[in-house]
Amino acid sequence: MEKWTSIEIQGERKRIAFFLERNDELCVEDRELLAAFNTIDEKQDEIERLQSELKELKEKQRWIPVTERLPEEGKEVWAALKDGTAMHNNKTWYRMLRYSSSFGWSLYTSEVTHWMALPELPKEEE
Amino acid sequence: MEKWTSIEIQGERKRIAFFLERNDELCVEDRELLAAFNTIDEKQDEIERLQAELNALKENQWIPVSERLPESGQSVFVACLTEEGRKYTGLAQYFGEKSVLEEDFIDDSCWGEESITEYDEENDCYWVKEGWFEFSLEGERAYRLSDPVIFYMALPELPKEEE
Repeated sequence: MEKWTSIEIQGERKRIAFFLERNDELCVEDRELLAAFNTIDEKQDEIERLQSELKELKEKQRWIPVTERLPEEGKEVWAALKDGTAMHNNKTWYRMLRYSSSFGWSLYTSEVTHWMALPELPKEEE
Repeated sequence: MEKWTSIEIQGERKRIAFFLERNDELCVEDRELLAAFNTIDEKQDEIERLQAELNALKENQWIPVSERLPESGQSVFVACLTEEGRKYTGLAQYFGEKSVLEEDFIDDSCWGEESITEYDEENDCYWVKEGWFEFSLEGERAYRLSDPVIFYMALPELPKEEE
């Protein structure tokens, strides 16, 4: 055995739980193993917390194709345009725009292909 | 003992390594413990990888200027604070001290009441003064931002071309 899988850990935990239920004193080896399982679980929780934070942040920073959905009414967003003058490369440039269902994008020319929400301004720190 | 600290793990690993060096067969308990340490280390590596990825993404969030400034000349998105406490946002560039020459940045029409350049006697040239400038897409005139910048963020990279 090189590593513990979560199924193996479950099995061992059951075995140890059986002793504890009977109020048996755990041997040193089992106490050490139980502590290791606790550490593994703690790390696993941290991994899951980070993964969900990462997922949330990735979604916030994703360019959303206009074909997928449009931004909230009147909300200022980043917009990627087709065939404008170049700001960062020769294909597209972007600036902030508002979208309104009655007037469309607050722009006179060029087609919006993607948009991205602006991050909220941080609250003033005292 | 409720959990293992990394120092305790190090100690146990040393003890086990000692047996392995002597080519002793490990007892079942030690093999199990070693496997647990390997699992802990693996999870720890994953935590560190995720944290690094998260920190990289946080770079695309608002960064307080009190924390650090962008690279000189980089176009960024900024949030300014007026004297009345109103916040507004826009595109701007920050220029560090003696990093951009006047002739590389400004045309004649920019001369205002407040000079935005400084003379460098040693090198006989004019530098753009350190500070924040409005970024205009037309790119000909440069105006110093009138309100202090409190936050800035990198411009998002453009969407990848999908075929």
